[in-house]
Amino acid sequence: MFHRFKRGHKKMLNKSIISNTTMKSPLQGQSRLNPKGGSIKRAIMASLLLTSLVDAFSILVLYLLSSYSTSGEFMAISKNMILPAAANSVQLERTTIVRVDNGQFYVEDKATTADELTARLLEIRNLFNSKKDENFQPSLIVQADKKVTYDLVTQIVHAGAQAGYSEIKFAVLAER
Amino acid sequence: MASVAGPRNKKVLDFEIVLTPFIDLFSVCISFSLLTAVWIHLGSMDVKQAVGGQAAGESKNPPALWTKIDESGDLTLELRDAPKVAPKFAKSVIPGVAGKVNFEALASYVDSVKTLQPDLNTALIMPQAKTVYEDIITLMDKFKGSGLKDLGVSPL
Repeated sequence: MFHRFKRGHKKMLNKSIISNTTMKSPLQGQSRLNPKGGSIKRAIMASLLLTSLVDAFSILVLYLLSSYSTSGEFMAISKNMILPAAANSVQLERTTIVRVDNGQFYVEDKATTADELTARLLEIRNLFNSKKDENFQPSLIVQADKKVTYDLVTQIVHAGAQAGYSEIKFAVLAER
Repeated sequence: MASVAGPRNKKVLDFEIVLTPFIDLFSVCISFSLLTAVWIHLGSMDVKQAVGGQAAGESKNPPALWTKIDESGDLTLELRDAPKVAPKFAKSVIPGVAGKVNFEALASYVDSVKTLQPDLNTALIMPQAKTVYEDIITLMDKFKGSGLKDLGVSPL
């Protein structure tokens, strides 16, 4: 039944105007209207447009490379801590970190009381001095939640001054 | 015998770029970048100890803006060692707005003072015990934005 229809369809096309024109045209058998093809076949294979995919990948790679930071993450921020934001901040460099978390002081992730702050900072300073480490900077990084009051922060500033840390670096979220 | 080049001898000039290796390479790059990306950019506000930081031999102090923050958000500003600024303008109070510091008024004040005293580069901040840490940082940020590069904070 189908073959008979196919043959009839072919005969009909051979007699038609399209047949004559396409056969003599420079396109020859390349035309979509090629009656030689007989039945109209549906393309089952779907071709993926890879060019647009490569474009999207390129943009993504460029964005990620531009936001790549070479300094790395040396400071862990706890979940409940939100650092204050500042637009005119400078790049943070690794020095001694003092953290205030829920009213508790931490020097290099080691819990310390307010009274022991100076002693602990002096201990770190002496340790680096004994090693004659030239990279050691007498500066402190203060990491505190934006909602804490200054009476807590001042204890670090005060202890730092007593232990000989002349510079204080307040850790902030850099705004761009 | 000379031969005429027919259509069979024509070289195919069209070619296709093989995109699969490109996609593989991009996928690796993206995966690496996503894994190593730093999403939170940290910075620092560098300050020096306010009082007692100067060398003993220093004969002349640089012009400095002493700023006191009250708990109500009021700012008391005092210009010291600034001869180019009139004494009545050297001390002023910027009242807080709804318990918050009026940073816009502060910025305009600092800009006007900087035009009178261009060599003003130092600001010293004197917070109170209950001053919120965020306000101090924002104040430092505004000062740095206005060109006051040398900042100091005084302990209580």
